[in-house]
Amino acid sequence: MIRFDNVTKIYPQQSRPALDDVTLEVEKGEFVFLVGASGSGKSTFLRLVLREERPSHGHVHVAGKDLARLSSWKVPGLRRQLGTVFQDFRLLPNKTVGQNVAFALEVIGRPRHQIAKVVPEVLDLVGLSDKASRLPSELSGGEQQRVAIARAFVNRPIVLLADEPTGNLDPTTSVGIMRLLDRINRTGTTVVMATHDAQIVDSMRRRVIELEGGKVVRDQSRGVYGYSS
Amino acid sequence: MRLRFVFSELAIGLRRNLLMMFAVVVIAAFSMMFLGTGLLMRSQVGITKASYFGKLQVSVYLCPEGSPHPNCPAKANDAQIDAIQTTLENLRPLVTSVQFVDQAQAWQIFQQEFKDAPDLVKNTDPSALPESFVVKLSDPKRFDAVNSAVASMPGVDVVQNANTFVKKLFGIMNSMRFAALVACGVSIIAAGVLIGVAVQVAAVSRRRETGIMRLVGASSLYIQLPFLLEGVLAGVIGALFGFGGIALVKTFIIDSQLKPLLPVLGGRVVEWSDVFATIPWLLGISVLVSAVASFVTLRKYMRV
Repeated sequence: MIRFDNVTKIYPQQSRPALDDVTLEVEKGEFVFLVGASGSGKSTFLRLVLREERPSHGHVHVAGKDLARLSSWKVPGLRRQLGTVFQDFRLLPNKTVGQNVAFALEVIGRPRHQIAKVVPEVLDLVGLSDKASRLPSELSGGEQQRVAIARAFVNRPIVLLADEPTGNLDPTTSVGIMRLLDRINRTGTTVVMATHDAQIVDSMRRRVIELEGGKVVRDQSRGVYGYSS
Repeated sequence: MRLRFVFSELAIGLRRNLLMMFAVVVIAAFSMMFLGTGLLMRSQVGITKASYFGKLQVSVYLCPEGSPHPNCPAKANDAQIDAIQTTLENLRPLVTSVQFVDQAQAWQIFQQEFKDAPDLVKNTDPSALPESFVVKLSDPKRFDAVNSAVASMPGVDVVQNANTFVKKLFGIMNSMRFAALVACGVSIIAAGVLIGVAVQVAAVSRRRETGIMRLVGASSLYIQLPFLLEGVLAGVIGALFGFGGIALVKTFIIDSQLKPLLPVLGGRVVEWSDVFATIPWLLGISVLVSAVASFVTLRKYMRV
């Protein structure tokens, strides 16, 4: 589903690479934690998958496509197969919950009747069907993140990328979000989640890829956040 | 492509950016007004030129009795007149007609031309008027060809070109048209830059939306179209106001202030049909300039 072949990313005007010769593969349907300190390359990894950045060396393959060979007008097509969730939710403050989710479909030109059908479905999935007409400011942080997940998932992506999705949430709320991501993963969606949250990683017991200074220093199936003997 | 979405985004953008759009509309209106004025001046030059074209003629004055001119020791004799006529006739097809005006005819024309000045007519001796050839040219600009052919022939006093005045007139009109087009060019550049800035402001103020659009895989056309339309719409509204300005110019300057100059301008000024004919130019150029300005700005400031 996602394959990195000797990928190095050096940002302009920086001597140290953000990712340094990374080779790894994420299979379809996997749930992968990307852990490591700030600046270890987690976000760069996600940006390369989204083709927000291009690698300085090496190749990134997503859903069978070599992103280096993907012409720029095909990038939107790639991103329609990827859902993305961020630490800061990135909701539109002047649109309701329902409108925020519908927005993701409107801007890719989906017909209205289809939007009217799938938006309530996905809001039901994230447990917010009764709050469709609320504004994001009226919701709790956890609820806002559920809206963001609904928006990322409404187009049924094959990969869900989550960049510190629980970073702004308290532990109890985080557990709820993780349950939701787990449920999405069980539908066959590959989930890649970058996180600092040791407790969550330890409790989920999924594959853990640890980055340090841009290098993969650990790749464990059913791993934990830190080294434990 | 869901147009309803594009237009709702456009409406949001216009509401948020109202003052900027106002500035764009004003400057676009002025630039389009200059452009239209320049176009009307071009039409007027055409009208005036056409009306003068048939009337332009060259007069070859023959030596009268007692001329001070060194080429005229005596009154032109018949042999000289025949030679001059032959030379002129040989200049066909440049020369379209050669007409001999004898003293009696010259006297009639003189009386006609100066009928408002009876004293002058009374005090003029008909025999002092020179005989002449009135020559019409297929191309009035080629006066020099006639002049060089006959000016130094014996019996020719002076070759006069009625063109000189017209040339001056066209000179004035052309420089006015040039000034209008320069003003138009400068203000179009200003309008283009302003549209670019307005679109940039709009794009920055809606970064959040466009960021999400990018992320969920909206095509760049879909993301940029509302901004592009915002710029183009401002340009089009500006062009319409600019046309309004031209209509005012037609009503209050051309149709009233220029009335006394009518004979000089060729008896006719630009019509409303000429004014309406500027509309496609104004709209076309304003759409082109605003679309290019918006597009360039979006390419530069909005990553897709």
